[in-house]
Amino acid sequence: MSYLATKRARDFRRSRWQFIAVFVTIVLGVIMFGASYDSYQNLNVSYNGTYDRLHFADMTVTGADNGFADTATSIPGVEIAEARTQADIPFSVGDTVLLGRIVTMPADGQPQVNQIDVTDGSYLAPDDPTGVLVETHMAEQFKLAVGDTFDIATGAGWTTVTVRGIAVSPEYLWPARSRQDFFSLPGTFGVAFVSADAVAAVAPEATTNQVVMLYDDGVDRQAVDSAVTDAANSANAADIMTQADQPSNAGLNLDLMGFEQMAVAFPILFLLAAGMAAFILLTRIVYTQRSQIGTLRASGMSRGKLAWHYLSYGLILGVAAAVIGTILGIAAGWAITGTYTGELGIPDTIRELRWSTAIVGVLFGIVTGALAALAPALAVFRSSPAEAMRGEVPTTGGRRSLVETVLPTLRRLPVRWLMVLRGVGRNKLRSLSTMLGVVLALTLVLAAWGMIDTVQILLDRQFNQIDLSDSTVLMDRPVDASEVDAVAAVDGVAVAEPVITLPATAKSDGQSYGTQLQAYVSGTQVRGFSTDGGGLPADGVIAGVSLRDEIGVDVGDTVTIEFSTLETSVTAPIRGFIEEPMGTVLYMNRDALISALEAADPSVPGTVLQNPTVTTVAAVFADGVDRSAVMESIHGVDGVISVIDSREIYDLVQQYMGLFYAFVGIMIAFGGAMAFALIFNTISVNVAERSTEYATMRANGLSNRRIAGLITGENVLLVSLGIIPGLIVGYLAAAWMMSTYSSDMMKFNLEMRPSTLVFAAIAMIIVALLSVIPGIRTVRRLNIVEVVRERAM
Amino acid sequence: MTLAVRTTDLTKTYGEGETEVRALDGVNLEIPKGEFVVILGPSGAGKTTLLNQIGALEEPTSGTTDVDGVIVSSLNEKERTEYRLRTVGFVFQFFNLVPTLTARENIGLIAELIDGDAEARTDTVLAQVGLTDRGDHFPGQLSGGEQQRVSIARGLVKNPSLVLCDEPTGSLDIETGIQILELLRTVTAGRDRSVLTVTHNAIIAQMADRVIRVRDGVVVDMQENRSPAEPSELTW
Ligand SMILES: Nc1ncnc2c1ncn2[C@@H]1O[C@H](COP(=O)(O)OP(=O)(O)OP(=O)(O)O)[C@@H](O)[C@H]1O
Ligand SMILES: [Mg+2]
Repeated sequence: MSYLATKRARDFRRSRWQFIAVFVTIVLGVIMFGASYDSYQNLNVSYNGTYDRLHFADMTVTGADNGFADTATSIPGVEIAEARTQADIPFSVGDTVLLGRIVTMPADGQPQVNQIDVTDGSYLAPDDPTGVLVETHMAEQFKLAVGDTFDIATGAGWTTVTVRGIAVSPEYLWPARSRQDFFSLPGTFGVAFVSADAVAAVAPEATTNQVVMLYDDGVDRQAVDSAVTDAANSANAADIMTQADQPSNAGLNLDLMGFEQMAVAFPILFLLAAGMAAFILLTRIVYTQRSQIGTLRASGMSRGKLAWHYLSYGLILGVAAAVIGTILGIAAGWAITGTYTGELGIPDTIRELRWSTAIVGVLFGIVTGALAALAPALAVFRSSPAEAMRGEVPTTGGRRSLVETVLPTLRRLPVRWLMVLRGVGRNKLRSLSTMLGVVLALTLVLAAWGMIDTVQILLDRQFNQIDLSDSTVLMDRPVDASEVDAVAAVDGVAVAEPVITLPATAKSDGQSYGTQLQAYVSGTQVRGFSTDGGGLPADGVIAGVSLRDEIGVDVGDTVTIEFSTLETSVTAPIRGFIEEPMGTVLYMNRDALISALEAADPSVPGTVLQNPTVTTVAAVFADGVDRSAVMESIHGVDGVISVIDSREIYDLVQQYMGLFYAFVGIMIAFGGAMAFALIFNTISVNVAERSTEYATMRANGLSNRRIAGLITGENVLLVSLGIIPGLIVGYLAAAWMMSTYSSDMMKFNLEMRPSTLVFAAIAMIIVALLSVIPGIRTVRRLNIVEVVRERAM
Repeated sequence: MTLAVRTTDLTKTYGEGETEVRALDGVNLEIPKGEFVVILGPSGAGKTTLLNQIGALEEPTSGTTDVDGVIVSSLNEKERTEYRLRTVGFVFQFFNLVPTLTARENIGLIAELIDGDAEARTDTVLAQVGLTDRGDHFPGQLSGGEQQRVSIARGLVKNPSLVLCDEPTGSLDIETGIQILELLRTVTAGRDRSVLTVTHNAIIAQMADRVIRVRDGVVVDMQENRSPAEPSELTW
């Protein structure tokens, strides 16, 4: 080993804790990259693997005129268009009644589009018309096994079907009924695949036509999408859904997007912090060694060789950290992918070793190390060998701090405190780096914490301000005033109202958006509306705010609302838009809807709306009642087949939050580590630079505690200065992150509790206090004699 | 008589306009080979600046410097590095040793840069400065005089024809200073090597073959000393 290498190794050892701090920060940054990028890639490939294998539809058109499949096949770019029937009808499984969904498939073999994996039992058979395949989430929920039976509602009453097999479908990897009902409560939704021939017998009224399409390979998706959309609109389609909009796929993509974002944003934060810490450290090393550097140059060592020597500090650090970070990151990415596909029941888990991840990860580290070392190395390159002639030079000139100039009374403070104030301005770059560390860490912490707060606050809004009902009651008979009154009469029920829910398509100027329409009585107490008047207007329609962009309408415009199940449509003016966290739904006054439908062409009599699949009863309970007892009593009301607990979905979503908490915990730990690394390095360098000063103070009788107070005071002051910009930048970053998740399906506008900001700030102060400890210990252990002697070298 | 160093109208100014300092103002010098030369002068006279010129640490404002027939003032950066490596050895007042390397390693760092057996060379110079048994000590474990001897060894390890010393005894007590001077003398004795030592201590001049006096950037006097004193005879 050359002596320069020996010197480098010993320099590393001399400042090992500082180098380790930088090393760990780079490792964390590269891990974040490797883990999130590989998770993104692996999950993407896994989902696409399943989609390809099972021929997941590129486009799904519902409710178009008969024969649309043939029209669609002739559109250039469409490879296959297949017609099938899909209907939402009640299932009765054990003693639970739910609104299920049947989807038809050819009895003699898999369809060409949206095939399924039969994981248990066997596929449909022509000689077994009542044998059905149950989608895996429903099978799991109801513990259905091959050979079990359940009932499907038909026009003539209940028909018993037998489970022939359990199936995984690319359409229901995430079991969502629609973009409006993204989180389905377990036990309220289930999918059964039935034979196309049998459906006529099972549910003759279920004639919802659906055409599912596969595109040719390598086509311009957007062009084909829009061609199909035009054709479907001319064929009076009720809903046109691209693969990107398909609810299960869109949900999975939200996750993917999260990983993709993390793969870019978080590594940048870490590497910035690591780069800054390394830069501070190396600048300090070059600075202390400048007379040695001058001597070596005077002795004939070329400046290139010396500059390279210092550059190699950063490079070695970067390469070592990057290699370790990449390996750990890829391993973490694989583990995350496995956990994910396992949790979600994705049939294909494809994990590939990607050179791109490894190369980019290693590059990240190398570039960080190299950039951090570049300026110090350049300084070496430019330094004059005449530096060797000089002894120790005071680092920076002394001066009054800015606050002292602004507030001259401060000058009467004890000199110790003036030292703290002046210390901040003494080395501006280092002070800035401490502040930068705080800003970066707060960005990371708030971005993560903002997610929790947003979801919590939005959930709270959804379930305490929007959905005010305690339960939804399903009947087995037309729901009229007497049925509603019967529920209202139950002990513990404060309010009971009829609620109409209809699949609906909003159309304007050739654009359409498939959703649902809900109608409530005037002055409803089961649902809150954040309109200006605070309620539902007597006429017209109000809509989720995303509708504005989805079909390009504004307040005052008239929309056409098509009801595919009623085979009619009405027009209504838009009275307002409301912000709701989940879904983009249309709302109307119940009386206004009934009279509009009666006036429509073809006219729909009000009694049709009493159908129990259309009208349900929403109940609000009195304060302080035993909820389960009340629900039990409602169950006893004549005609009630199911009582859904609205709170249960709230609890369910809260459960999903568990994962979020783990994620936020990791982010906070990482953010803390990052801030620690930067602040620790800055303080170490400060202490090293001032060791003569501190040693002299000690020699003059200043106690260790006093000196510790000085160091702590200066750094807590610096961290506090970083907190304000940190909170602002962190808030903006969190807002940006949340906005990228927003769509018509789920709306996330950043909400942050003030307490979050306070806690984040306190956490930073704690990190600051922790990071000064090593510096204080160094001062305590300072050997006064040694310090003075080293200066002489 | 072969010349070790010759300067012609050597001028060096620092700064510009009002803050301009003429550190060297047209210096003409001729120093023969193999001598022990002392440069004397008050603080700020331009001694260090002159040494820097001869050692090619800085470029002159005007004039030339010629060492062993090489016009060092016209060398480019690469050639100057090469020149410093082959021709001159430096010894500084602040020893400027790398604190993380041992005495032997500090010398080896330079020895490695030249052809030949670096270890053997290092051992030789360590022995010359009498530190064979302290070679594995770090600078922090050496006395000031020992550290200065290491830095002399570092200057000698490439076997330079010119050794430039800037106040080599400035940081040392009298006795140690004398030892260092003795050492510097012995390393030049009987060799084709010149030593230029800057000092503002006139007594050291008694042991020199030649004394150059500098004041305000100008050479005011140059004297040959026919019978230089032994360092041990010097009195402070
Ligand atoms: N880098 C520089 N910039 C500006 N002025 C300089 C610089 N280096 C030296 N000088 C000035 O040049 C003059 C000569 O300096 P030099 O260091 O050569 O003096 P010296 O004779 O070595 O003095 P001393 O005995 O105190 O070391 C001084 O006035 C000094 O202030
Ligand atoms: Mg000088």
